[in-house]
Amino acid sequence: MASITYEKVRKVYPDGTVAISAFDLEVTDGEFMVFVGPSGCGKSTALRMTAGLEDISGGILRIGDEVVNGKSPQERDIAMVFQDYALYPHMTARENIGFSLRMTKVPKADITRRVEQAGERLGLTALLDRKPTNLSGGQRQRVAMGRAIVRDPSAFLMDEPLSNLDAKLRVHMRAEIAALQRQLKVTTLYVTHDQVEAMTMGDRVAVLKSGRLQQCAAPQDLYDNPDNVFVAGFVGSPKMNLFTSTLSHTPDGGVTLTFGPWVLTLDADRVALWPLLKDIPGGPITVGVRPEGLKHAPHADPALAIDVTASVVEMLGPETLVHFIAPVEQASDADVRDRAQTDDEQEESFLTQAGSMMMCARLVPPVRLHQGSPIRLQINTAQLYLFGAGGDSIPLVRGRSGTKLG
Amino acid sequence: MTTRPNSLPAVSAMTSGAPPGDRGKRHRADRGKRHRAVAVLRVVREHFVMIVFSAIFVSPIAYMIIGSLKPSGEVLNGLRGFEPTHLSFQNYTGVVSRFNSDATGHFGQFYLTSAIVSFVVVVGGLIVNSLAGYALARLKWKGRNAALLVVIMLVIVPFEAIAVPLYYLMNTYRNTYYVQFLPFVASAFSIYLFYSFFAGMPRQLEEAARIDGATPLKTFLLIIVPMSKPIFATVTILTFLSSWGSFLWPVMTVDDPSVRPLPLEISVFQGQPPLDWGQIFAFGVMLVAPILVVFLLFQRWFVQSVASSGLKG
Repeated sequence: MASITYEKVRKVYPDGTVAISAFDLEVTDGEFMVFVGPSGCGKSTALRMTAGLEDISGGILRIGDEVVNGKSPQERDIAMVFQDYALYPHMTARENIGFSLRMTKVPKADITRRVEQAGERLGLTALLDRKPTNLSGGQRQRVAMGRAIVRDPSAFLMDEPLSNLDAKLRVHMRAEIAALQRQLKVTTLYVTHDQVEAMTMGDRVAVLKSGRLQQCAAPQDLYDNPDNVFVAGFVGSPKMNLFTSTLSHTPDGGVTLTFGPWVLTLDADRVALWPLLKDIPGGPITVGVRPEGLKHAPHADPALAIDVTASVVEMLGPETLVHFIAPVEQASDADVRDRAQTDDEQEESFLTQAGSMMMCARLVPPVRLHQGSPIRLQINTAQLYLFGAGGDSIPLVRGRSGTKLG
Repeated sequence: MTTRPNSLPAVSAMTSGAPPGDRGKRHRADRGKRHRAVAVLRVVREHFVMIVFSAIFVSPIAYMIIGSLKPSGEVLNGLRGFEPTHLSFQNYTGVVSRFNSDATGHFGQFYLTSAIVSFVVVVGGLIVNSLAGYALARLKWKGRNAALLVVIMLVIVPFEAIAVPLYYLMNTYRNTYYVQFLPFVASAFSIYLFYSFFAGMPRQLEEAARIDGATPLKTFLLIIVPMSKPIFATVTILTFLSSWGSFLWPVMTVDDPSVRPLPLEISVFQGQPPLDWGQIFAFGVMLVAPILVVFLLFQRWFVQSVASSGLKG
């Protein structure tokens, strides 16, 4: 077991494409680190560089204390699980799992023992003599895991290993992989484009975009305190409502945020929650509200709430998601669109027009709503996120909340 | 008349006097019969087409095999040549006994020469060309694209165009086995076939093997080769076919009967009228038989390869 350290690691392809630029990160010993981001963000490249399957163009990569930049994959003592499992089709599950041991000239008796142990751990004992074509997707996935764990490597590298499984099996295998990693305590790098997978599995999650690390934090931290508008939009499902607003300072030290027909007033006390906000000049600013930051408040003062009409109501049991068209400008940052492309959630709804966007509120039942219902919502300022012109977050000091709309 | 409204389509109930339930059964039975008749007709039609085509392809070989067993006078006799009359192995023994001195060479020796040459060309070719194809498809080295271009260009150069320069190049090896196999072990066409097959294989398996600690050679031998049976079978058949039937090159380079390959000896029959068609056919059968054996041995993977190459487009 070992830590993995990236120091200003870069990857530039011969045609000049920069896949990874100045990547700094330390994955501690035994940690489950998830790389997540849209396609083309460089997460797989980072993993493949770690594996030794791609050359490193610059910077230093360490596994343990050893610099491994020029080392071949077999010298790095890592095991990898591929997206398509990459099981050798002409070998049985037993031969697949034992192949790496055979290559390192481990005695036959040892190979048999270790393969059987791995098989037992993964519930594969009865299937060891089958070839991959006679195994189901989930079983192949397990064989691929077996091939990784049998070597007892310093680190596991997993490249979207669940993306070929159906939704139900994916949830099941997600839990199995996470549990196995916690049992074995082997440093693990896990690449996925699915933010739910990232949030549920990782000790920490590194969000990448365009070859740059956007933020690396524990899942809850990432959700609560996104560093920038991209992370805010990427993490969370349904995604955060991000829209542009105009910031104005009031003489009493408060601010107003104007978006569409609504004006949100934050008095001096509330502005104190964002210590940096007072130094930001008036003008356009990006505001984010998570769906759960919008509260169903039918009896609230109309001046303090927003009145909208439900376009889509999704009753999920423990919660109800209400989608509605808001006459506000969606944050036009390319970052937000990136997320829409990757997550198969085309945010560009046919229901919305220029100058309006589809927003979502997560309400706690009982709420009796249907399509077309008028609904009054209140914004919880504790769940309000503000982003400066560059898309960077204006940090919020948590612990106080309050809303005043009017 | 009582009706059972749910049992039948209304139209048939109105157009016939028989009880509707019976009519329904009969209608279904009729439809079943019609379906079966159509299916039988389709099978007959398909079989007819296949039989006609098989007959077209098989008839020359059948004609040769039957002719090889008949007396010479009855061989070339129009469609009656197919008639299996007066069958015997006389022509075969005649062919073998025709080559029974050091001057004419021995029949067994021709077979052996052809077998040795073809074996070396096929086995050597599989090793050399598959490795070359793999190197072109997968390994990174300077000049790879230029080498690939040369290979592709060589594929379209006919052997006749290089026969004369090659003859001068190999002049010192005349009347040996070497001259017969050396120029044909490395083949641009085989390299290209291997190259295209390997280039189309997913890289992940090789990457997995690298991570598992396999060297490039072990990856090739333990992972790539077992997965590439179709292309190895294809190259085996094609190489064997051209090597076994090779004529022009041996004519130019070999006249010593002890190292002459089998196909050259056909000229012996042509040169001495009256032509003994029975023996020529018997010789033809003995010449073709090993090709059929090799094809039968490898045809399973050969067919797979042709089918998959069709799919890949």
